[in-house]
Amino acid sequence: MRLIYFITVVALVYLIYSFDKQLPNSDKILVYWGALAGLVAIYKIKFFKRAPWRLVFTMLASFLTLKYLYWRTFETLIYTGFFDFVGMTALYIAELHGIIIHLLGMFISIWPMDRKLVVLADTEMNDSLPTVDILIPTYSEPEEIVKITATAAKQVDYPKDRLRIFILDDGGTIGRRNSEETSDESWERHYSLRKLANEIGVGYITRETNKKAKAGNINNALNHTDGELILVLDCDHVPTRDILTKTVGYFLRDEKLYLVQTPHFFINPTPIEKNLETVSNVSVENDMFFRIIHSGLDFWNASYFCGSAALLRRKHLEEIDGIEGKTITEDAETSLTLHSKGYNSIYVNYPMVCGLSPETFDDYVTQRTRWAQGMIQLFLLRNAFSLKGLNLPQKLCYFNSCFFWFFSISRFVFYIAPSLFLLFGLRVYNASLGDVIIYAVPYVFSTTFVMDFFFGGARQPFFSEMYESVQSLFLAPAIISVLINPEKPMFKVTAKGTSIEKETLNPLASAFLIVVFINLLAIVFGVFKWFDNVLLRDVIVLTAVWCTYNLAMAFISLGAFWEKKQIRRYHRIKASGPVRVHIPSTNETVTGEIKDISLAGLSFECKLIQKPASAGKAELHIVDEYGEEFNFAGIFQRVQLKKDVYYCGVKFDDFEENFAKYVRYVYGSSSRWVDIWEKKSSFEGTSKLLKHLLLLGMKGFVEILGSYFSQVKDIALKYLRKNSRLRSIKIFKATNVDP
Amino acid sequence: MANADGAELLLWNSRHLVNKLFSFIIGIFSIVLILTPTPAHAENLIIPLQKLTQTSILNLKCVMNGYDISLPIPNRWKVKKASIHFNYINSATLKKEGSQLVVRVNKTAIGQRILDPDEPEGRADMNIPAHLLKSGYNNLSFEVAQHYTFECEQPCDPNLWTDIITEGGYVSIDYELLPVPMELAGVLDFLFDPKTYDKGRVNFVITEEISKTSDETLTVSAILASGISNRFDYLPVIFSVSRDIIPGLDNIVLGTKENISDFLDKKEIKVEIKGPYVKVAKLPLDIRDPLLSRLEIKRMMDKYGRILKIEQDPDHALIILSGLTDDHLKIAAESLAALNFPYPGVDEMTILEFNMEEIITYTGRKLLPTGRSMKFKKLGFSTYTFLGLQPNSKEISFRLPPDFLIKQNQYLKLSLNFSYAGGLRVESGLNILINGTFVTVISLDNFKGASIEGYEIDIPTYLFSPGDNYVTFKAVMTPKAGECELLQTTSLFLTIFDNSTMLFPKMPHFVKMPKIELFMLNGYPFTRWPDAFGSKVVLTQPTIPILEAALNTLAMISQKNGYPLFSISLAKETPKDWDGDIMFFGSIEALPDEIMEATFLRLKKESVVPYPVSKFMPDDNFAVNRQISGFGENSAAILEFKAPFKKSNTALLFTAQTQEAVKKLGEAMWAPGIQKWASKDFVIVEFNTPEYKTSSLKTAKPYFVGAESLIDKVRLYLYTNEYFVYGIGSIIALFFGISVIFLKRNLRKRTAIEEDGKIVDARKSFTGRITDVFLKLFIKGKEDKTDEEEDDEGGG
Repeated sequence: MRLIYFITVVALVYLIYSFDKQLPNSDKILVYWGALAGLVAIYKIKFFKRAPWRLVFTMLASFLTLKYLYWRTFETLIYTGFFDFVGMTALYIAELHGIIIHLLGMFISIWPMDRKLVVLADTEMNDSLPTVDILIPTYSEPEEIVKITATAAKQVDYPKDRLRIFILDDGGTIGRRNSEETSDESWERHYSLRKLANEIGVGYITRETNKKAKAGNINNALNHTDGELILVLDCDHVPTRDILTKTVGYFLRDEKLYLVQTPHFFINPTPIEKNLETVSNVSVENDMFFRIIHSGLDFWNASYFCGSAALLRRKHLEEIDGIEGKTITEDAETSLTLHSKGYNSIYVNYPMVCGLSPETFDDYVTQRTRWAQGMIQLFLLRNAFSLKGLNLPQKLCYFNSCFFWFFSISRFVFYIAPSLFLLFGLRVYNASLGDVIIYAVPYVFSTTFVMDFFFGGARQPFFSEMYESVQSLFLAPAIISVLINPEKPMFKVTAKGTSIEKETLNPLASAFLIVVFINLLAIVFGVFKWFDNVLLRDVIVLTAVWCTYNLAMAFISLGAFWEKKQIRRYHRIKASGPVRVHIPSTNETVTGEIKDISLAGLSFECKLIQKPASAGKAELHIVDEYGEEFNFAGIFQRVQLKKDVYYCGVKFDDFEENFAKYVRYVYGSSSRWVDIWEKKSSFEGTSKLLKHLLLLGMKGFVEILGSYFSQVKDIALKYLRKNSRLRSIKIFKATNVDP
Repeated sequence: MANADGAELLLWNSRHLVNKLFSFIIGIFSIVLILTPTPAHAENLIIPLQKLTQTSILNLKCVMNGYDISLPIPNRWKVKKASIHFNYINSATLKKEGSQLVVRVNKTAIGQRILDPDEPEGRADMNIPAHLLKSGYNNLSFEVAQHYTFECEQPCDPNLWTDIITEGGYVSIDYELLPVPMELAGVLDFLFDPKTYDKGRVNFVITEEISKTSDETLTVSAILASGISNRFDYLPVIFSVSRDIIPGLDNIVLGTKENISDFLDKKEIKVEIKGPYVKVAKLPLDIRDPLLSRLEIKRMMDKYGRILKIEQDPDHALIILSGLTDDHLKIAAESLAALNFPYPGVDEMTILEFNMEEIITYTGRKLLPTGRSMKFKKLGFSTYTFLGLQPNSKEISFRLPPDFLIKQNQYLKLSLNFSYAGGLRVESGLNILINGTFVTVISLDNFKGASIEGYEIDIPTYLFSPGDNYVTFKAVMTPKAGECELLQTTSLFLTIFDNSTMLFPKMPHFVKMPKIELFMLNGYPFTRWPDAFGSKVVLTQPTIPILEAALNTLAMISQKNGYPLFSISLAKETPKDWDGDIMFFGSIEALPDEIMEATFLRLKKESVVPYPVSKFMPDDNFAVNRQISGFGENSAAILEFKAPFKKSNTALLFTAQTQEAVKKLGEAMWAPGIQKWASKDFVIVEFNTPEYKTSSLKTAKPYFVGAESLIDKVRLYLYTNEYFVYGIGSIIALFFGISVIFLKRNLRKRTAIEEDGKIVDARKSFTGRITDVFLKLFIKGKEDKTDEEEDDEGGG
């Protein structure tokens, strides 16, 4: 069967290569635009979104892509000079990268798993369950973040005698405590975290050195613990109560299962999301990865460990001497090894942790740089294709996960490629307008439909491009440094919970100013070339359109670089459900609807006879999704009346005393995260979002220009003042001399 | 009375004697006058000017302009006297004092006319000194200087014009024929000279009956015809075949020693044939030959009027081509066809060995080598200077292989080295036209003039087409001058150097056939190898008219391609399984059945004749009529179709109702009208008019040729297979089906954990059920086994 399949695939590829050789251009337009029209028609029909019928869409999209690739490879790669060749090759490789990722993306998402939850029944909660260790590695995060996570972990539903929790403190290692530079800080952290652990009733583990960063930290803990299963939680990943009851069951049914990965759900927006939250409810790349791609990886038994929110089997980990640490993405590396040993993984597409995204662009870039460098390390040092034990789909999945990160270099090439032609006349894309209309345009359009077809539930059109665009200029040098020295990258912890005092354009945006200038200049050159060079108008039009796209993308990226003010102590979470409110001052009891919650308080709307006094007390009674009742004491912070409805913000009064209760209420329910996730999928108006970002970008551009001009003005004024003072001194001296 | 009678008698006698004497003297004088042999005979030829210019009017504009014509003088002419005659019309607003027309031959003025506004229509009759006209191509130029005022004159004012009316104009040349030189190398240029004004004519003497002549000898005649036609350059040359010499023509006798020795003995020509042998001799004539003209008979008498039995025609030659074997004969023919150097200087040679350089496909006349930079000089463009306000344009013509699949995204790269004089206005420029269409201009915008090397221009290849192409350079130079300032037009120079280069990128060869137009272009596909390697010609009737038809056709394609057909082979029998392209010549009755079956028309007793329903419909929209009929004697047909022997080889059929009509078709292949209009796969040529009426139709199934690589060959097979479309559909369905099976299997494995080992398919749908049925039916057993095996391996 596999042989027949292989032969069929070869035959299909060959047909795609050869079938249109003799067709006149008019027929070719008919074929490729017809295929695009077919693709759009299928895209619109819901029936074809279901597997296996989505294979029809995939085949059609692959046809357009492969034909474009064939045309691009065999028709447009022409040696016209050394520098042309260099530019042309770079652009081709960049495109090739995009095409491979595009095809692999379709392959991976051909049948996203929609797993049924295997929930432990109450009757199963006995001694027959495996013992579980929850490990919370930390390094430099604020104690309060660790406290929330450890507190939440302590409340996880599982037989208490079979569950142990450990804070793995790498910020207070003996080495750091003995180091002159970090001694005070580390001792303080060591004491405070140990004390915190004691207070909460969890274990505290530290080690001698910080060798191998997070991987080393976990491995050290493995030596001091003995739970059959390990739940790894980043210290900012607060677990829900049901995280074990909904994951342990899988291990009971498959002896070869080494991993159950769950999604990383973030309550705070990324910097880009923050810019857009005033306009719409935006899904971000993280959602795309955890909601679509990872489900697709699961279909191919290639779901991999993402560093947190995952349950692992100790036995299998010990077989490979714990978490691997050859690369700085120890999680994926460990998975790769265990998959190659024939062990299985599954992905439960149900959020059961709540985490924090980086708050600033600097932190965001730091995080992405680590991921990018780590995955490129994996690509270079542990390439999936060279590993025995993996099947072909697994190899392709791992290859895709690593190879994807070269996008930063590809994007960079896309940014400069058209300018190379318009500014320096380099022939980087040898194509006539006719051929571009036949092959390239249908392909480009098809990619948009493909992205929306496969990932539309978790992302908006063009947003992946924007995310990639934003990161590209910063990741590219980091990737190149790994390519030069794969062993070099060091693990850098992503800062969480950073505050931003005022709204500003991140200085990193300057890189995009260069892109804006280059593309603007190229377009101006293009206009002149249009009049000057009749024969190359095809190429001029193409590259000018391309530059315009780049320009728009650069502006949008600039817009994404606005850092919004963020000084909240705890993040507010959108929520719903009834709350019974009793106001002692008026003795009024009403039922309101919860709007949002945080560890510090909650807001709700309700109809009151009388406006509650500011700073007045409130008694709140809430029953959560599990039927558990919560009584909170609160103080009104703000009350607004809108159309007979009061919008009230209440601060929890006994927060410090009943911290665990609040953590249990706010973070304990996984169904809350599911609700928020579902709402995110119903986004609106891509154009509205893009326009918003574009305007922000232009605003940033003008502000930066203004800032530069003001600096120039300052320098000029300084110079003038200096000169005028000199003059006045001369005059003064002259006055002195002259009687 | 007697005295009177005697006196009368004496008077009568004396008168009679005087009369007799006078009559005798007159008679003697007349006889001497008539019978005196004249070694040289002055002949006159009128050459229409229009034939030389290819246009009826030469329009000369601006203050100074000129037009050059090439006037060929054949090598065998000695010009005795020449003159030129034409009419012209000049603008009625010219200033008589400063306007004149000058005619020059090889830069020497032979006459001038004042361009008189009062008599704007003039006629010029000018003698051309005979010594100015040398054998070769002579330059005949018409130049005008024209002014409408002597103050503030616009150099290209619309008032400044003169038209030379070439229609009705002519060049008259009196010439004598020079005797044929008896040296082998030199005689070929002398005899097969393209600088003649009529078609060339060459006769092959094959002494045996054609039916008894070996295929090798017939092949030799084809090689020779192709070699000779190439010597005639672009001039049509009609080949005829006879068993004896045809007087008044250059004859080539060919055959092995055994075959021609009797013939040569009869002609009293002594030869010593020991191997491949070539000899040139004066053409022997026989007084009894009914074909001899009166003039030729006169030539056969000596100065005393004695008629000789055998004489030699000094103006025509007999070339003897022979050898001991057919192989020798072929070597002799190849040597003669390739003889392009003035050696040997004697009248005969015996060839010991003949080796050809290895040749490559797609080479020939003006075929542009692709993928490498070609200097203009190699493309026939010599360094050229454009002079004046509106100088004549200059072009490079070249040919691309007819089966070129021209790609869209590539560029022809011109790298120009040129220089231009100073003082030009910014609108001056060097315009570049591709196949007559303007594409770009190089601005000559440096007022001080410039010398530029390596000016690169990229021209998209889609502007070119397979076959003939030309790049034209047209300079427009305008001097910079203020109002009423002197316009210095003599300083307007622009030179393009012949070390400029042109690079055409490599392209694949792939073409949809049949296309007779490609055959007319350069003999494609028979000349894919320029020497027609792998091509065969079958004479379905071994007769002289059919052989003549084949020779003329082969000579034509060889001349078009610019390379002798050294590897062509002629045969009288149809080969059983020929792996190559093939041509058939013969009347309908003699065409092999298997060949006719391969054609659409089946021109036998029952013909299948297509009739286009409407000229507005696509080519292949025609009505089909099955009928019993025929061509008639005044028409013939050419059919091209896929050869019945091997895939993707081409068969070309030249046929008619009679052998004479086939012969006419062969000669008609030289006609420009047929070469231009014959296309598609079915051509009918009607001989009723001198121009021949040509009709073309598409009837045959298409096929593809030109594949060189294995992958292309596979593709060819697919294209030509009618089940190709079904195959595509099946493969797609198969791919989809197997993919679904694999995906379903994988899904079952991946979801087993959720139901504690039970197979769960949350999306149990119509597709799912169908797949399950398929699984059960075909791969159930194997699948279980595979699963177990995979579990053992630990895969997932």
